[in-house]
Amino acid sequence: MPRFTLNINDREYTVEAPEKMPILWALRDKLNLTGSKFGCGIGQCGACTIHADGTPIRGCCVPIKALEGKVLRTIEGISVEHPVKESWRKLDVAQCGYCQTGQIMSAVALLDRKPEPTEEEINRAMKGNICRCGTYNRIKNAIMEASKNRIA
Amino acid sequence: MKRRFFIQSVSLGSSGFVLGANLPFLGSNDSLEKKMVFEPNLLMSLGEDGIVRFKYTRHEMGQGSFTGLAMIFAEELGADWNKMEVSQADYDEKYGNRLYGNTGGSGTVRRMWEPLRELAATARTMLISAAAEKMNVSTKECFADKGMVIHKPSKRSIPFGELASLASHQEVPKTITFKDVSDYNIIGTPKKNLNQDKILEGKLQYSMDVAVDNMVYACIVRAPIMGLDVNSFNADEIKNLEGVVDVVQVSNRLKEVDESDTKTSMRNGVAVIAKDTWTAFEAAKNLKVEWTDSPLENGNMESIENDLSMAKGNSATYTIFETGNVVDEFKNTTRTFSRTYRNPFQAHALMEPMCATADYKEDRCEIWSSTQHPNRILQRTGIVIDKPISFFLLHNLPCGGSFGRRFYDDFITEAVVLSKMLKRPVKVVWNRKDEIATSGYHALQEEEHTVSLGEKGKILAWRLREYMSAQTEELQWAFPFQIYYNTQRLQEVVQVPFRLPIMAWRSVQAHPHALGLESFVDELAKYLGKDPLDYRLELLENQIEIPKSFGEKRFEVNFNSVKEILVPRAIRVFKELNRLKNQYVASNGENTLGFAGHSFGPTFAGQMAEISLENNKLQVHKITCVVDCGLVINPQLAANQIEGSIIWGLSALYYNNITLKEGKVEQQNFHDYKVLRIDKSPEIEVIFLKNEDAPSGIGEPGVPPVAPAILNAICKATGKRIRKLPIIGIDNLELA
Amino acid sequence: MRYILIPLLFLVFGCKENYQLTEAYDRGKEVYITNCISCHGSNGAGNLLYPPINSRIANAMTLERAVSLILQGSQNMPSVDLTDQEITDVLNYIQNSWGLEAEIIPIDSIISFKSISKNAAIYP
Repeated sequence: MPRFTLNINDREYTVEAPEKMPILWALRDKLNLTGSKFGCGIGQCGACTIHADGTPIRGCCVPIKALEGKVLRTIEGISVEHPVKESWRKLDVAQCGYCQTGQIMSAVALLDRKPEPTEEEINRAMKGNICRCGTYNRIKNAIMEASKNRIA
Repeated sequence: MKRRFFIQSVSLGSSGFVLGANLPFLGSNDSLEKKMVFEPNLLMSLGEDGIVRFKYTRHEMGQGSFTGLAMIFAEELGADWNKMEVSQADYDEKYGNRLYGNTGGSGTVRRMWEPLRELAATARTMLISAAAEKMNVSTKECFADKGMVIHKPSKRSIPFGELASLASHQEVPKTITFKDVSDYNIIGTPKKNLNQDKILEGKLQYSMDVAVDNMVYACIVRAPIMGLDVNSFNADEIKNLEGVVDVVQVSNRLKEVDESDTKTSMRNGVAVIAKDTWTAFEAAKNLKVEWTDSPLENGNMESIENDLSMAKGNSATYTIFETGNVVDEFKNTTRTFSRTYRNPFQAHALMEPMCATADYKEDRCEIWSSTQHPNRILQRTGIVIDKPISFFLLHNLPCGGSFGRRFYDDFITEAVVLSKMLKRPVKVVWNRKDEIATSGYHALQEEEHTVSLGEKGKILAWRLREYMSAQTEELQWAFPFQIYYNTQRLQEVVQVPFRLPIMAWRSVQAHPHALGLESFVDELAKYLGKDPLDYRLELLENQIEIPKSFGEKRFEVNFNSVKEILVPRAIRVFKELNRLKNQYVASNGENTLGFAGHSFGPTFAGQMAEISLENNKLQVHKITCVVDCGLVINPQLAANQIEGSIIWGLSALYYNNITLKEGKVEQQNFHDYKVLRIDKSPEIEVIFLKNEDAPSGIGEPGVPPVAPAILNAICKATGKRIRKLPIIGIDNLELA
Repeated sequence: MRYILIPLLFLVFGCKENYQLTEAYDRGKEVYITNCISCHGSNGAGNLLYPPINSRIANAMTLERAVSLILQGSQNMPSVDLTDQEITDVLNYIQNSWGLEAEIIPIDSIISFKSISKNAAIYP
């Protein structure tokens, strides 16, 4: 079985897996990084969102091989003091919490691209993340809050 | 407001469960090591470190009761909220049904309110008596607050930790006194979700995250139609795939034991066992299973339509209740008004697909999963492998949403059966297609309301006929209270033979009932030329008779509570909605308003929807929800629940529709079973009416009014009435 | 209806200079990041599991088909829940990225494609 070296959260990991295995399953089943969640397997729900070179990707759709040499970041690699996590905490966003790691990864990447997003821009960037507990309004407010705090 | 539920003193003689705890409070060996010296009951231990360790004995699904129950306990104990340590208890029969019953029906806080306060007040009494002994003062001069016992006259205080040992030697009080609501300083404050930090770090462990030594992963291809069995499958081909460990058949033996009850049992299927989840998923895609033939009655939507329209002519299968003589009134009526409303099959589409890990050994089976009803599922699973509940050790982990789905045993039974078969730990992972296409569903159901009208539009009789499958009736435990008893009434069920398995779904039967009732009342008001809110209040304030019990005693509903609790709450909620309406009109609001209210359990929730329809593009701008749920334990998490319920209701109104073709569910994933996304989330405001009655549940009551409130607004804006869910074409609304 | 599309499909060189719609381009990029980038890649080259969309042939041939794929999906691609504006923006982005250039598609064309794609056979 092929062996891959991956740079995840500023650490090098070696993983033996089929080259087509999506990164999500390497993270979850092989590397015990279970913060990225499985939701749909077809890139429709965003629960598996991670960053590759700063871009948010759905881990269930991207094979490990395509990620060699990229800088990967997962929820475990976002500091607990990150303004997005701070605002999530402040607004008590999460209910069941299952989708929230993916929501946070999408939000962090959005604010990196657009430090002051409009509501429309938030909708556009967060539309790929489903939450069945229905925390959307708090997510929106938390992103705006984090945006303010990052600027300040 | 009169406080009906606050019994100030309780005799403990009858609540034997308190004494069934770890007496004589000396602590087990294990707890001595940790210096847990005061263990007055099964849920609490206090160490010399002053930390109160509290065990949560229900299932946390995002509804927040993990935090809520701890708040109730801490409040009554007089604990310091920052010195509470809350953990999930494994399931154990020792807790009994009162402490570890099912989690559902928005009843966790409601049902635990009394037992928790009894346990906490008992412990507090003992701590106080320890402190009084230590300070050599009277217990009457002492009280507990913020983790200390305080001697009022001298203002001396002793922290709980220093009292732990002494408290364990105090006598168990014979009577206890509950704290007065005016002294509350934890209940009613916005405490954070206790899981929030773990969630943000990606460290909260869900069933999906479980890994145990020597574990293999299973993906099961299940019978596309309940009841089908496996004829043959390409075992050899699949076994040869890299990473595949085994391919085995999974059989539903529960059915043989109990022919009538297949709704909670697993489907027959073939399990692909592999070294990781993805390999199991991929191999399962290549699995070819030949299924036994099955009669396909009601196999598609046309035949279901047929059956429904045939059923219209049928007499009732049974009566739920009747007051007066409705049948005779309809024989002689000169004017009737009748409308029918339809709710489709809907899936749960919870974020975390079902998952269970089991490790079957000779003497014990350990399970890691998430369940709303551990006692029931272990009983069911136990029947399949012929073991008692005590054979299992169930770690009930928090889940990524349940909404009724995890009431059922199938996924746990699958893991147990496979682990027994393979003699090693097995993790069964459902993929999204499994969850959407081979599950159980919110029932397709029709509600037909008919009234006989007399002079000046007076209602002379009111009949409600419900068209539903026999399995749906089993969910009538959640039968919501009717609130309009202004006339003689008849409520009856006509069975329609749908085959699709039916399961509880957030707000259960209250959802189709609210769609029917609250649309109908609005239509009736319009027909009679009355304002819909005024008309509701007119009906509520002119009740003639509230039945004492249901006709055939099928359902246990306390009608007294309808009169005492629900109707007054409904009146208060509709009056508040009226005030909001007047305020909106006075502020020259430009959008169209629609209203609806409904009960779930003793909670009543009403909503005002603000919508606009430009070029048939439906926009819901804002939903304001007014809730009377008794005492609000945590306003922050309670508001979260209502907000989430409204999003849930919107998904059901806009999209959710499971359809059948040749007996199989057609939808497979989020692209063809859509749910609401962030861009369609309206502004939401939640208003809790002040009420110090016992808390009555918050997880589901926000769902039922959503659809009728918006449909009522659409009718107001366009004159057109939609009577079926889901609506079609949000951006270009199809108006019947 | 189907025939009026063809002129739109010709590549117009040098249109970038006239491209007043940097805002629209940016919007399209955002839609791409949210909905497409995982499978089709930041350079449109696809990945081991999903096909590229950055070649001129694919680009020129797929306007109508792309609308159909987005709305209807195919065996290999699930449909994506996008608004008319989002579809317009993302297709304009794709057609003008990675060295590709094309005339800007107005939203009205996308809406007209929609009615065609509704009746069109689902592409493999």
